Amino acid sequence: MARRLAAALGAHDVDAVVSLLAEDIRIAMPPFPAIWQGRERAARFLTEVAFRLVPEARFAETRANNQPALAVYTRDQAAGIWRGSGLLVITLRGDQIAGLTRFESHTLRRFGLPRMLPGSSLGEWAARP
Amino acid sequence: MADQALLDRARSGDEAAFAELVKPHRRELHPHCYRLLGSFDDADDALQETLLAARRGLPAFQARASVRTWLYRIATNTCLNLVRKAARRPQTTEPLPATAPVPAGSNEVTWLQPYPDKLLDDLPDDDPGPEARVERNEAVSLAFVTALQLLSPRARAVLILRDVLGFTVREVAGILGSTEEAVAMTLSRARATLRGHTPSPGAPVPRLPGPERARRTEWRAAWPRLWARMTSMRS
Repeated sequence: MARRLAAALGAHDVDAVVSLLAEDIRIAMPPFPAIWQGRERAARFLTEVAFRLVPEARFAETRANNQPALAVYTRDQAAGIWRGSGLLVITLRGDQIAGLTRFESHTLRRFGLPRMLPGSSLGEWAARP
Repeated sequence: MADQALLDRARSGDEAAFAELVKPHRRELHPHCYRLLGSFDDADDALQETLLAARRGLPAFQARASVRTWLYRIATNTCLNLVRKAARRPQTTEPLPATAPVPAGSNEVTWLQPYPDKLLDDLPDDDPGPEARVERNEAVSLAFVTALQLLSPRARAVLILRDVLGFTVREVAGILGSTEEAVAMTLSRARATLRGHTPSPGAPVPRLPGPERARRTEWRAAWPRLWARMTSMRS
């Protein structure tokens, strides 16, 4: 599921992402004090927030809180690297995603994940740490 | 129960002996602090403070309780003090684009941080006491840790000590410096509150006897592929 989500997010394919989500999907991004709920809001959240803040993304699979998770890296074109931009923890219910919780990038180091990836090692980004 | 010779050496100020005394327990104290505080960074601070307090308090340790229970007492009270003093690390957040959709509600637990599975995999496979009601895998899930944060700090401590770690009501009362009656009352309220805060039907919930458990078993049976993948990824 993490891999399917990563592919859909990476391609900016809103329909593909939404097809993985439960009807009552909850999106949170602490410490931002808000929750977005429902597929329709999730779709708008993707186009208006996620894809704007992270226009080009690479992902690394990991696990947090006994749940699948994706480390998100965004391209820093000027520096020629991919910079860690957050950790997306997936809450599953059956074969659907019932929750997506995005945490700040400084949490990545707890997971033994690099804060940035060199621009040249794109072939290896999908490997599990 | 700790080896008496080791305990004596640690009491006499032997650093290596103290390290050896707390070593079997310090790893499991970290997720305990995390559950109480909801924040990995705060759990780091709390664990450091716990170990300092333990070293200071060792001469007074009577060995009536096990070293483990004694350390849980110090860790729990250290965390409760941190919450009371609001000594949490400051949080910063990036602004959202103005076009962000309107949220459906507020996220009260703004300090929540994720917990790496690799730190849980390395824990000694200690069976929680027979009183534990929350499965180990669920006891660290985001839904559960989030719901815990909505309890009062004391209720949270009671519920974790009893339902996650399996301490008896008597032991919990000893850890919190409370009475068994007060702990039992807090516990029953905390369980009810926690059930009310469980956000969705599939989200992990505290283990309950009867139909609730059966339903979750069915759920797992219905998705063997998914479940297999989730569990195999842990190894």
